[in-house]
Amino acid sequence: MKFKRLNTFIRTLLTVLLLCAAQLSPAENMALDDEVQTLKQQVLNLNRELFVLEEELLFPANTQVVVFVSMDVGKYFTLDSVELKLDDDDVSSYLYTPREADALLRGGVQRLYTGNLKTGEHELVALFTGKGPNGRDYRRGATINFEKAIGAKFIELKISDRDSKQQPEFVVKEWE
Amino acid sequence: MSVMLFTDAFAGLPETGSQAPDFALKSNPGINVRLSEYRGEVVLLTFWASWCRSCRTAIPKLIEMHGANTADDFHIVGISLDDDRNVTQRVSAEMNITFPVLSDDRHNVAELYDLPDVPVTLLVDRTGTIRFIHRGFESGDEQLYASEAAMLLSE
Repeated sequence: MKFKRLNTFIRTLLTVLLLCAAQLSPAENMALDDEVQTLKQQVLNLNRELFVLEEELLFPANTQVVVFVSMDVGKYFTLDSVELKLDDDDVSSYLYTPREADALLRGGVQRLYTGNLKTGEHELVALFTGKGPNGRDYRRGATINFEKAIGAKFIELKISDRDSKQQPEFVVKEWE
Repeated sequence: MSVMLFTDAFAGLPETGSQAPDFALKSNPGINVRLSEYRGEVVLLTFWASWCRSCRTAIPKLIEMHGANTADDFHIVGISLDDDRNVTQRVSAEMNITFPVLSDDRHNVAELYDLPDVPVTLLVDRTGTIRFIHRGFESGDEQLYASEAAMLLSE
């Protein structure tokens, strides 16, 4: 919301500056152009700081839980979607476009979910759907029970190939 | 000419000049499509349903528009609000729809866009901003869509 207001303000400001620029000499125009560029950069920096601040306020480090998705190889599995359940609550559902799935195959790591959890025992269930070996529809779940202590919890859902069984493998890993 | 879809659940539509809310849906050939991946290009989004008579009038006009389109950076994308994905597939095949049709069978995107009725057609510019919104459809509207799309393509 605040980004929208900020954008509107900046757009208005830039419009006013451009209207002023129309009546200035070339040298003055150059100086004004530099000022506009500086202003743009400051706005970008401010936007980034606001984003970080918002994240810190919404997800304090001591309750934060973050779930990442990564893929390794992908010979036996083409990712279509992931659904996440935390303590039986649906918390995230994501459909992957071919471009996004390709980005994961190239080593990208996606932050799928960020939320807050109190300390104690929790259960995370991830449901993966896609095309498995021989192009068949494939749906597989992976579950992890984890202990949330004070401090952020990072969990990685890793899809990799198990060559010995010619099947995909879904591993859930905890990072402290 | 439009069909009321929801009553209290959805108050209206996003405003022109606002960012088009991003979403991903499954398309007819089974490929997932995300709106933000069209950034840098112009998109005509049309929400429709098989049970909506105005939509059935609009779709053949949009197919013609799609056939006449020569610009690589202009896309027509249909979003079907039919509850059953199989119905969307069948009707799309019957109507020979040539542009991608996405299935919003759970109405998540309809909710995201506060869709009050169908058909609704939006034109989204290269920056992802909603520039034109049309509710309902009457013969001749397709010419208006084409001129608006041409304007956005020239920007």
